[in-house]
Amino acid sequence: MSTPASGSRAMLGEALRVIDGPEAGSEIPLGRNVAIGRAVEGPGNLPGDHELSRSHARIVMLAPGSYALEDLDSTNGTYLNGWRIPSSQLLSTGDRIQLGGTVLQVVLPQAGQASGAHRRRQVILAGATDAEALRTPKAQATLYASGVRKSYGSVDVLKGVDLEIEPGEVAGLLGHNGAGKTTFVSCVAGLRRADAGTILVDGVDAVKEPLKARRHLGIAPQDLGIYPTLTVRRNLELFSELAGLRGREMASNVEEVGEALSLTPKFDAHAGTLSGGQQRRLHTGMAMVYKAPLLILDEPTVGADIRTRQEILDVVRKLADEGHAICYSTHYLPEIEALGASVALLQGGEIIARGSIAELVTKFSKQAVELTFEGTAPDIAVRGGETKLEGSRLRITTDNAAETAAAVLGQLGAQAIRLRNVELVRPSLDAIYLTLTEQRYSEQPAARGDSDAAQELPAAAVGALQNSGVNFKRL
Amino acid sequence: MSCPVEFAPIAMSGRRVLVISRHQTRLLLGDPGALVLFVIIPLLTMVIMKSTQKSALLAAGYHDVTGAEEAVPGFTVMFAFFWLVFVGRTFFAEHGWGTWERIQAMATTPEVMIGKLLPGFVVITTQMILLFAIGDLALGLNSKGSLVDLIMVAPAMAFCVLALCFAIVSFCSTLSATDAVSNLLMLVFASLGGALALTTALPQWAQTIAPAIPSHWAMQASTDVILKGEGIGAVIGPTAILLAFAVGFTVLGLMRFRPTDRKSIA
Repeated sequence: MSTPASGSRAMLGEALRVIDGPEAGSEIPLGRNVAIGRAVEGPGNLPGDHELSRSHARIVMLAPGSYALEDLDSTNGTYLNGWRIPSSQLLSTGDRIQLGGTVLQVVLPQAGQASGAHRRRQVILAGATDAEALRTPKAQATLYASGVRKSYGSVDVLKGVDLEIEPGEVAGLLGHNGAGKTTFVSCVAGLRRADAGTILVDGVDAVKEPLKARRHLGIAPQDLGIYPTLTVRRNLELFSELAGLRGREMASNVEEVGEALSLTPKFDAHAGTLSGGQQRRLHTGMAMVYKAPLLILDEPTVGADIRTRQEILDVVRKLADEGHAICYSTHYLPEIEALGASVALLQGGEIIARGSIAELVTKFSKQAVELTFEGTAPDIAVRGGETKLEGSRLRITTDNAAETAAAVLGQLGAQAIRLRNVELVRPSLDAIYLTLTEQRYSEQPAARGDSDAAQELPAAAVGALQNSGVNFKRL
Repeated sequence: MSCPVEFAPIAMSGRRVLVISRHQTRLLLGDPGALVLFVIIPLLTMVIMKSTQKSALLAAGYHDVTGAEEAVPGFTVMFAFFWLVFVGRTFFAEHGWGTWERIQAMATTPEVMIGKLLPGFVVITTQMILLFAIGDLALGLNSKGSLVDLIMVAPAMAFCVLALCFAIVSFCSTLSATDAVSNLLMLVFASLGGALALTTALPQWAQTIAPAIPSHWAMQASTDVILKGEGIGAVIGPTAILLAFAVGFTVLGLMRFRPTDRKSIA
């Protein structure tokens, strides 16, 4: 038990601490490949635990400081933090592994507290080539989808979707109609069988055990689905009961969701008598009421009034704050920003962008200056800017809209008298969305976000513009 | 976005079946018209048709009859098939309300189907027993055999009706088509199966095809017990055939049933 594995390049102190079982108190030093069982060679040999298979599991080093746990078709299974692992699983420091009657704690002093995703990036950077290992879910992710593929006949709807959503995270799933959102969500919910890939919902394999996976998620489809002849309370209770709740827990959840969605006064009313907004809230509440770890909301505010929309957003945010992972599909991009959600942009069956709004803005979008003239816009070249001339409009894409505006205004000369409008465009989520999905920016004027960029214009330029009667917009 | 169910595991939870059954019962009881349709109207029809049936029975050579001996089992069997329309509509209602996919996401397809059909089974069985009991007590049904011997026909008929309903719903994609097929079958089964008139009074061609109709076997069992005074031995055969019909309809339905199928309430 005390001899490090042969060929190991493990870092100092990396080990599995035996915290329960016949060998409690001892340590298994980690190495390149450490087998664990009651009849294996090396430090993982635990002959005193008769509940172990002869060769039960193994720990594989992916890169220095990164290890994956694999079950070796053991009789009793291998559990990581209470989950029976379906395949290999990336380890983090502090993880608890249970095999037979033995409980091990992972000690990785150099790994720190980095998240699973971060550590997987570390593995990539470290040059690990074990693709399967890189696809292993992090222990914390409530939704882990990797390489999900789905075809209908010859049409590939999902071409390898990867998406992770952690507890407390709201992930905005964006994409045009037909991008694959519905199919992906259906696969996650276990309603459609993915052709390939891995989907774990709260650790449950949604491909192999769709029914079990459904117990861990709540889903509110886009189309309204309520029982109009039953009361509001009965609608909520039905879905609670189907999820396995009963008694006080069910009553408490129903009251809580009803309160949060302002449905309590309508509890005894038939759902068919509610207003459209109330019905939409009830529809969403039916997915929330049993508090599944993963909540899938597909355009929950479509057709909703302002109050309903705000209440739904508030509840979603509250649930996320309580630790639920939420997959929020919407076409209303401001909702993504209001929720502080991360973004997953699905296009053509693939996630083409994933990250926080700030990350995506930085990575994918540029600022722009747009000048509108009376008559044809002059063709002005600006250093560091990409110019596009369209009739009376001159659009310059740049890294710094304020500086570019100042520069171009200085070059206008006599043409300045024909200038009618100047717009400084700050990159927004909408702009990124349109850029990435290759739509014209001008098709979506509402996409322009607000910015203080105009205040950065040289005062002289602003003054000259205002005095000339030019319509100056701070966008 | 919708969430169609592409497949469903076989695993079932008795608790979820009961939850869905209770839910379905609420939906059924939410329409008080059902009680009127399935209890009061059959009784009224029996009363109205009793004298006509008495004449038919006397003409057929039966003695000491009140007419209830044919009217009670005939209209009980006929109105059992009325449930084809009523139960079928509850499936289409789920599609119309947008709840079909939601409930599929919460339970397996077998759980949903059994849960939705179970209350119908109880109600049809109860309806048949109730109508026979009222017929015996209030309409002067003069049975030569023991009516208790007929009791096993009721659940077999209920199973048969619901299996046929399942098959119809599986094949029809619109509510209007389901209604049309259900009403047509209900009338054909009643008339050719001997529920409206004694089979022996039907044309020869109708008598030839009558054994291919489930209601014929329910009526056969009733006639043997009520009019001929036979015992439970005469009921077992027709009951088995009713169950065979039920299994056949179930298999037929399963061959076509797809939980992902879109159903229109048009």
